Amino acid sequence: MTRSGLRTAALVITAMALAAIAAPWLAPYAPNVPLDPLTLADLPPSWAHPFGTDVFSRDVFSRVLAGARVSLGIAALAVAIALSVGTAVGATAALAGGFVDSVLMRLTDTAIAFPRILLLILLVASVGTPSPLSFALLIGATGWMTTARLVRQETKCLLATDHIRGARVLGVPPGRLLRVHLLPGLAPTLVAAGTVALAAAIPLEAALSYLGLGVPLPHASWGNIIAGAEGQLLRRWWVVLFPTFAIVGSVYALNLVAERLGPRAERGTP
Amino acid sequence: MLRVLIARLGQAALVVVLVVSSCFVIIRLAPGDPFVQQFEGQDVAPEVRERLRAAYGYDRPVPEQFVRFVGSAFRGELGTSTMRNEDVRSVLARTLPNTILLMGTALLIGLSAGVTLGAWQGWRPESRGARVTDRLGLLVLSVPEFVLALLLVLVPALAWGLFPVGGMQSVVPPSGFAAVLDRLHHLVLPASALALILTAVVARHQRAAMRDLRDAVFVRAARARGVPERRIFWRHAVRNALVPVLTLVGVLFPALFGGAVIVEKIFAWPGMGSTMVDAVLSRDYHLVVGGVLVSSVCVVTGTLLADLALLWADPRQRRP
Repeated sequence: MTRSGLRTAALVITAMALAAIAAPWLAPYAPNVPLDPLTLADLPPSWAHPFGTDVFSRDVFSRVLAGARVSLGIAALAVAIALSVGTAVGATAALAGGFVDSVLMRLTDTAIAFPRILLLILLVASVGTPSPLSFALLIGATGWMTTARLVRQETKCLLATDHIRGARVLGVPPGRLLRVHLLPGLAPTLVAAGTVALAAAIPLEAALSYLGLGVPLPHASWGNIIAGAEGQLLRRWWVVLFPTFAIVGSVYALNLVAERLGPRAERGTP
Repeated sequence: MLRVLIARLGQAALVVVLVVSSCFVIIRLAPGDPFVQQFEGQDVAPEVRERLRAAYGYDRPVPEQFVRFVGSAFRGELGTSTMRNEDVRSVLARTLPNTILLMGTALLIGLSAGVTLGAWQGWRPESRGARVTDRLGLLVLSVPEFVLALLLVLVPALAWGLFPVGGMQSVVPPSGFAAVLDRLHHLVLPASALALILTAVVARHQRAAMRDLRDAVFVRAARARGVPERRIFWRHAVRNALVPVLTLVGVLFPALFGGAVIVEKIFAWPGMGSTMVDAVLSRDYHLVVGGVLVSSVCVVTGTLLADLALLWADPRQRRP
């Protein structure tokens, strides 16, 4: 890939993140409040409403901005959780070795062998209507497996290097060994795994919210905005198209970066 | 070889047992129960609900229900679906073939298209066509399944009217050969949604494998012997590049089933995936657990078959 392509991708990701953070100040209208159900419902894109309005007369542009906050926030939190759990499992397996290693890895194989989306649908049902926080927790709880595998592999390689072997001989306790000596070495792997995980978490959140299982209405998420076109896809094309651009744009940019981060990340992708 | 096989089988059995027992508990943790969902908003006496709960055995403690479930599962019974008011086995027997039809078609198209495309891209990585299709592939991978399915509903089905928007057959199904055509006509869009994603994934891996083989010693040796380029491409390179792709299919199987869940839901395809989503939403305990049992067996079998194909294709993998 060209350098300029990577730069564009990085720019898109930064812009999305900034838009998510600044959403309340950028949005021209209140995202969750109907403006005027009688005259402003179902309007196609115009100067006043660049992304049109939805069936309840809410401004789609404001909702996509608010959705960026919710969707990207949930995805980021989910990835943070997945990376922490994955690192803990992978590093423990590699450091402990033997029986603990094989039990943890069998567990990882099992968790990876079942369709993630189906597991998530079950888990989400078990909490009833999830709050954004618990929703992020559940997405993270089903996404730690590839990280665990990568971290275990990488830790095993690191354990064979001289400076780590030296530290072990000097009797550095496992906690400190992990924090001071292993984590810096694991950082590139974690960055790569995190990018891939983020590119997987955004579509998952969107799919569940589209099905009405994720972010509860009236809160906007990219997925549930699209669901607002239900039954009238053709007539309300703008309700489908603009959130789709947001999802595909951010995931594509993340995928470009992940590809650049190299084989480390590619091992993790399905 | 035998030891590897036994280990794989043991792992597969463990997956099924762990997945089914955790789902058994998870779905019972969900607020509400089959009769709360079923009679929502209706004036049903609490005693009636209690009697129904007792009739299905849902009033017992969960561990006892689990023991009973394991016992009846070994007798081949999976209970009755509250949502469909029908034996769980007959619901699954009706929906599973539809899912297999959908996934099988997608797998066939996706694998052959992906392998061909990836082989071509990997052989000429600098060509304009390879670079453009590579970007396109990454773009397809960035579109969530449900969005891809919706776009297929939006453009070819709704805007152009070329294909039906959903379902598996026309409201008044034709008879004879026309029925087969009618079924195929309904299959095109949902199968394309899955096949497109699969093509993109497979092509990426096939391309990487081909690129590594382009300068392999045996390829250069074949070229030096004057073997025609066509033959080097198909016989020497593509064949060897298939090994990593076979590994990939095993890994992909769970994700493919997950994709089928979403695609079935959007195209109202009467398969296992959409049935299970409905079962979870209406807290149909027996159907959820029966469906999870059957789908995990299917997923594990698919993965196992891919593993076997890999063992057959690559003798190096046979060592434990």
